[in-house]
Amino acid sequence: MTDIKLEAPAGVTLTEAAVDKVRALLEAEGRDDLSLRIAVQPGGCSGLRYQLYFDDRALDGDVATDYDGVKVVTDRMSAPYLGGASIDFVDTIQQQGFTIDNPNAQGSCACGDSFH
Amino acid sequence: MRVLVAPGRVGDVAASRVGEVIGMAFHEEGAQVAVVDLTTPLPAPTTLDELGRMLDEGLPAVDVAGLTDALTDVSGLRRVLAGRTFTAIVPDEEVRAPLTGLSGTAVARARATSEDLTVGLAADARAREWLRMHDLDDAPGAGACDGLGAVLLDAGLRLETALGWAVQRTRLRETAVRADLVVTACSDLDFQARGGPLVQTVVEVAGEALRPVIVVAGRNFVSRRELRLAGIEDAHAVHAGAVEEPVREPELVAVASRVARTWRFPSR
Repeated sequence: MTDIKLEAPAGVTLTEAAVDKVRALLEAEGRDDLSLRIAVQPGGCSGLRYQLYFDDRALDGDVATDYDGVKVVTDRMSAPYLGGASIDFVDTIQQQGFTIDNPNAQGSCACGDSFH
Repeated sequence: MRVLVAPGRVGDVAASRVGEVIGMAFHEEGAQVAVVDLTTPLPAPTTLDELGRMLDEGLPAVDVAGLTDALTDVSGLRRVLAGRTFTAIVPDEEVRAPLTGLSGTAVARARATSEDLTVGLAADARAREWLRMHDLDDAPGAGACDGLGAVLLDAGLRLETALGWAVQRTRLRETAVRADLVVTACSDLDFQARGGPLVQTVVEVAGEALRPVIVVAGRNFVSRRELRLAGIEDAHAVHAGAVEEPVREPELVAVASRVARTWRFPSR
């Protein structure tokens, strides 16, 4: 893994499209106790990979951001790698799903699943 | 012609024997040969008493990977290390690894048991507390051997890989500069592993010395063009293709003889 900037985390931001999609997914689940967790894990062809999932846990050291009832959380180990990252949701012919724009990432692999 | 031979194991033939076989083949063709064994095992204590005895003997390098139990007695370990100067040999992948954080060895070991985020976080928290308790700093290498690296660095010691130490101990770089040809060996030469750490190191050393390097392999899966891209002049395989048979010494001798006959340098 190459060096990446580890500035003071400014939290993860969600675009309006991402907030709307997360809210719709939560409503479909019928639950209001879930947060959208984004975590960074070692692995993938570029060294680090994102994990994005709904989580009902609140872990010690979690960095949480609330978007009008939609909560985004990152654990304390992942937070330094995600400061300033933005999550969007796109639904086009070419791409469907959540995307992560991370200013800390210096590069990513061709499959898009891994970064460094 | 002066030939430096620095091989690894080829199949069941140990590196030291591979060196003898290849060295003899070039010697019989009239070359001056230097054979370097980069795989000589290092003293590896498993207890503090053993470590103390080895250091009393003045050993310059010790493989500390077996000393993780000593972490239950950090004070005792510090007493043994006090005033000592030696190079601590740690696993390759841990020589620059921190103990804590996402890339730390604490999390890496936890992830080997479970993908659960909480398991990694708990391991990281325990590692941070351990460092704080013993007034140790995290740093590159501190994560080696479950935190033993942190104690070693705190004692002012240097961490190194076994291969890195072997390169220094054998003065491989100085010898490569004086050679006309560098020969190394491995069991399999493929595009991904490129012969493994030993071959990659020898190729790098030869490259720095601007000397051609060739590989004697049990099997070679890399084309000529890709070999050149990897810094290897040529490769000679015992077996053609993906043969699963083990390499036997007579076969290695035959290949080494053929390789030695193919390289000629003008007499100086």
